[in-house]
Amino acid sequence: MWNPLSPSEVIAAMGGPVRDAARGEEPLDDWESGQLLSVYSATRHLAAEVGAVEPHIGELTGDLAAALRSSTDETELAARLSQLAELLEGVDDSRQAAEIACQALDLVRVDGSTSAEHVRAEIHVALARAVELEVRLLADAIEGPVEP
Amino acid sequence: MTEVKLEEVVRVLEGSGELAPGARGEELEQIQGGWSRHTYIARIRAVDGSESRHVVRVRPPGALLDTELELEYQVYEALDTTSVPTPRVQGIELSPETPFGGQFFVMEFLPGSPSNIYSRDDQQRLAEDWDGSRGVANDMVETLAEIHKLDVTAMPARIQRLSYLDVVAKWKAVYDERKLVRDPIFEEGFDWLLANQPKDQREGLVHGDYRIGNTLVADGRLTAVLDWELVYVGDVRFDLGYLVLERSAGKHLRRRAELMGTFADEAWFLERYGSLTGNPVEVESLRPFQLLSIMMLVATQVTAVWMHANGKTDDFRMVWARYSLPGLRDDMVRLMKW
Repeated sequence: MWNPLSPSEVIAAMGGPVRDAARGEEPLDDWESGQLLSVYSATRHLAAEVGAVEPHIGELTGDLAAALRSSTDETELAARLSQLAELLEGVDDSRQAAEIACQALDLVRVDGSTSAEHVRAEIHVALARAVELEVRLLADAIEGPVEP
Repeated sequence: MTEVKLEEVVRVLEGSGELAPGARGEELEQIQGGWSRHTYIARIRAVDGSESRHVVRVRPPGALLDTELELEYQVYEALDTTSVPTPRVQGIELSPETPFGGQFFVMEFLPGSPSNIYSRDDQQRLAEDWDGSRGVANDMVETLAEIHKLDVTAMPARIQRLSYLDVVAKWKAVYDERKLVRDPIFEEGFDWLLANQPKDQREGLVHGDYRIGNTLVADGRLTAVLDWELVYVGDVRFDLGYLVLERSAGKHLRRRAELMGTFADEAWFLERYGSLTGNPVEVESLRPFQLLSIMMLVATQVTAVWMHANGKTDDFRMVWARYSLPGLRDDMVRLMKW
């Protein structure tokens, strides 16, 4: 979900190998064919990413926000995590959500209290759910659904 | 340009005494694969009319990994005196100003082809080997045991000596420098590695990228182990952890091959390795090395994307690398038991 480069940056990068192949006067060699096959593979991944994965970003931010608010203590840590949860709720880019999750994990790692470790475990659960969802959606689109 | 490149290959081979003066380059083809080295096959006609083929390994400008070509060459030279199957190196050009766009070395062309762990045909062929003669499976485990038993003092002194923590720090530094996006799972992964440091160390020569795709197989037998650019002296269980990864068994998003590394049953391989080296291996003890090898992959894939984004390469595979990250995160989540 929070992979480097945005979908539009990936699309822009596809142009180079396609243009080179179109302009080339010689038959494609092994290397050039490989470049075009990589572009083809990326189109399939990108279609699944935009069409199937991105609509679930709200679930990721919601799960993460709930994890950050899972501490019942009234500590400074809990207050700061709650601020990050509020930030998350206004985010619609998974890369920004990942950045906020990293900031939250920085806080709980340094704190090290039992309460912080509880929040950390809840963040793990939310992240694991997002990872499993992304892999399943990409795999269903690219490799086909698992046969029963 | 191809002619100029071929002339340069001939010049290096004549300079090293590998070919008599007057040889002529006839064909040069760049082959797929190779992320931080570009690979070409050169066909040369000697003055006596005989034909030879050679592999040219080029360190391109903006190579994916900052690894030394000269050291890799010296490692091949040192391995030539051992029982580990490797191609003989035949000459090197260390000037970065070459028609190939960077330093390169030449080595002999050996019979055999690399296996593509993502190809169903190759997976099927290796599964048939496992169900039959087990020539590949036996060669893979015996060769790895040989590598790990090598006398490291007989290897080039410049090979890095890295502890477990050094390797964690190495890949963390790459991630920190090259990431375009902070990733909470990768960052927790590095923390997990520090918290799960093995209590003992089994020192030896670590190949660093030991998998079926970095070998050549001909007629059901291993003919060469290639791609030594990540070699170091350290805990040899890194190579085992890497081999037992689901990714080494052809997993991109979902695992498809049953066999470890696509060529052997995991329990069989580890038991055989233990008896060959005298060092039994429990699969659970490999968990930190599995995650460590994933962090190596993460660092290289993050670097690949960074290089394209920063105009250091126009190789589109470097952009595609972003799609290998979801599967790696999936492996990490399960290894860390989240």
